[in-house]
Amino acid sequence: MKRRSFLKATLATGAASVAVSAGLLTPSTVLASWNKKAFDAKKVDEALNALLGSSDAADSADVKLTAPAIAENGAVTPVTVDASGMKGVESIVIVASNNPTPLVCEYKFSGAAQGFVSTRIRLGSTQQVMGVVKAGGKLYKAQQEVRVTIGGCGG
Amino acid sequence: MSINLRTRGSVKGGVAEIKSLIRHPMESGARMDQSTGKPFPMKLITNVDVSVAGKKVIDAQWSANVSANPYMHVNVAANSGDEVTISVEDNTGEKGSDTFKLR
Repeated sequence: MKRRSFLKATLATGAASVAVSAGLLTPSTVLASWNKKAFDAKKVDEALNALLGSSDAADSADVKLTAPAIAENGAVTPVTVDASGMKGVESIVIVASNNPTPLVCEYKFSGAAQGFVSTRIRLGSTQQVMGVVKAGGKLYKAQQEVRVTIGGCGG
Repeated sequence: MSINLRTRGSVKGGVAEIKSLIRHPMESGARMDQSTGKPFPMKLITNVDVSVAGKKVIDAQWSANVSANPYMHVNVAANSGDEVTISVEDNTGEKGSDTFKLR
């Protein structure tokens, strides 16, 4: 019991000091085109608002999210968001709703790029994975629950 | 040191499937090193760009929720022979890029 509470305490203070040192040590010039506010957001809505200016996404059958129903290892979960059937796709955002910072990645498309992304993401626990597509100034989404048997965020 | 990445792509029906594997720890800065009690320092690819035939077509931003040694697959309308460049940059300013011709 003592050992457990000791670990908890060290983890909590450790995380706080990381946040401080990261803020102080990271030169802002390096991350000029990185949306820190969106990536640091703790809630899905906050992240989407900071990134896309809105969090009001409508469910759409044209957004196809492919993810495993059960991920044995949350550290490498294959996720595909396919919006090739939509016109005027501006960006695709992947969100892991229950991770400490939910925003996973944002892909902005222009010119000949198609609205399609496939990648591997970390999931800390069983949760909803969401694919948000911005097309013609509006947001569309698809989501799916992924059960995680081994989390992928801790050390 | 530059970031090591391997990319390949082939054109099928006017669409190039571009797949990249990048060697990178994607360290969030929040994970603890049990042996020292201190966190592993943040080292994270933040920006990824894809250019085809000299035009930037995809501009991506990543977080630590992307797995270590990231895999990325994107599709771009292109012709065989077009030159593709993928470039990545992490939060420490380290960069990497790979250029190849579509088959």
